[in-house]
Amino acid sequence: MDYDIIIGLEIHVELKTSSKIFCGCSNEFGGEPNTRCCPICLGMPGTLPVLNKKVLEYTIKAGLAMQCKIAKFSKFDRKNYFYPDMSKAYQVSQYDLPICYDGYVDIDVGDKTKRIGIERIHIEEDAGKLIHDSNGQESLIDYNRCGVPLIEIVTRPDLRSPEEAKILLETIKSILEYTEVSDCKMQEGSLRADVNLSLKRKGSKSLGVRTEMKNINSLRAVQRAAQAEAERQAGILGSGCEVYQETRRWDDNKGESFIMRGKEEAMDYRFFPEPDLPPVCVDEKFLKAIQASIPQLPRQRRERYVNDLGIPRYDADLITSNKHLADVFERASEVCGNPKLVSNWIMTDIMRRINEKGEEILNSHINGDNLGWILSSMERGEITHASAIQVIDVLIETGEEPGNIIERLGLKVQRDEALVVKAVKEVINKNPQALSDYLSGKEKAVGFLMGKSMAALKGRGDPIQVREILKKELQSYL
Amino acid sequence: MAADIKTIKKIADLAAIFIEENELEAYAAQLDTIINYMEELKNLDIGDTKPMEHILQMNNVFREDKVTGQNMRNELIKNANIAKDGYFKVPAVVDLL
Ligand SMILES: [Zn+2]
Repeated sequence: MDYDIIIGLEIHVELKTSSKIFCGCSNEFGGEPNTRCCPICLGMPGTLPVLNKKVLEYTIKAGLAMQCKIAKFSKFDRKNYFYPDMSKAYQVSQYDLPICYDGYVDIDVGDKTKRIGIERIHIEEDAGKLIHDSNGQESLIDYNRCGVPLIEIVTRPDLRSPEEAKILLETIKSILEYTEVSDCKMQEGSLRADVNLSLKRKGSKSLGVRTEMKNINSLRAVQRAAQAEAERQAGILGSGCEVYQETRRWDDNKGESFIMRGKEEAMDYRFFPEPDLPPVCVDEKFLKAIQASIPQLPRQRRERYVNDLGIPRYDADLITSNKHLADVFERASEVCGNPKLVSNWIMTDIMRRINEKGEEILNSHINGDNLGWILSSMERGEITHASAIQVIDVLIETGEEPGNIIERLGLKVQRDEALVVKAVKEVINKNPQALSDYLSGKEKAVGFLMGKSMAALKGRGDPIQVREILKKELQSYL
Repeated sequence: MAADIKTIKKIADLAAIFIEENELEAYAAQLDTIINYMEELKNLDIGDTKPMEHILQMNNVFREDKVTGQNMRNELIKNANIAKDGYFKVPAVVDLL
């Protein structure tokens, strides 16, 4: 039987503020257990939470970048549950009046663009971490992550394949990185997704029963989990049974999911308005300031690179997949005035170095200014291609200023004609065999002598000038 | 009845409160009175009074994004019944997610 796959995602994102959402504890990842918490994040009686303004700004920024409407009036609610990862016995979240709603994200599926609805984005706080003792007798709790600001992005069920789910998550991840509201480190859990999935018989109007898979923390795992769940549900329906509404846990090592709780045990959170936090009213001025801080997003940048700068689509895709790389590309292009040259260098030389040494080289030593400067020196013929590579080597190694490197290593191209003529003449004299080859019509000999001449000039000759002088010298023997 | 014994049992369960079997009926009756009282509100003419979304008549109370907290683990742990290696310790729980 044929089914359509219907998928929606709920994506949790930790915001990269300095402090936590309601108190002045550090939001840094890690730390000795329980050293980054206080009576407020532990919810001790008599404490009063106060909203971190940056959390509001970042949430609105993310919402605007995903074309959301921003609520003029928004409030917080308590989501009540008993579980030791939250010592207060409730999580502060937003129930019926989320800060952002009704947006969308465009994704590229093959060569088609597909619009995926964003139902809402709301603010909430993260919970602590439980460590289960191996003998099953006790659990240990670290509340350092408790009170870390989160946003939850809820998509509409517009995704129709596991691949689309992965592409959407990838696209949202890059929007969040471009807007710099989260570092999106999936291995540290700062971006994680729940997959809601159901099957609908092709041509039928009624939706199937959906299941929810919790806390998947890699792009690949989202696709794998959705694929496995679609197959599991199809198997159940194919054998004439019914799918139960349930919450499941995906085990990426085993490649399968396990039931956590069924419909009967579904949580009843008894939301109610949070009395300790006053509502939030957003005015136009505040919105405009945030709107102005949103940089051009990856899709728009990519289109501009392709259409205005003439960069191949594949290259533009790769460059825009990383904001740092895109920033370096843009700045270097401005400095040297030749975007195609910069993109060629990024696609070959710079990418190779990133693969070898990691992305950090972009922030530490290589930036748009010095890369642009090196490439324009090369374009002006002041240094050779080989020297440019050498300068970048030293730059990455030591961070030395490129102008100094060129000076110190004597990399400046040698254009003194008398010197070049002298070197070329010596090369011809030392290689009589090559000369006689040339005289008997073997053009290959020119290449050989060219190589020798460049070597004699320690690689610092201007290849065009050297070739010209070499040809002139050789012709004098004819 | 708006609140019966079954409702009371469920609410007590959600709130993790233990209620004696012989108290259930009394609580059901009390809660029923409260809910019925709320029902009366439905019959009032409230004109164009706007719904009250929140009890606080103020808004936009923020703090700047500054780290002011410091390690106070010893004081926090002091309040716990049991602790181990800087962690709070509880009887084994299953993952909830
Ligand atoms: Zn705190």
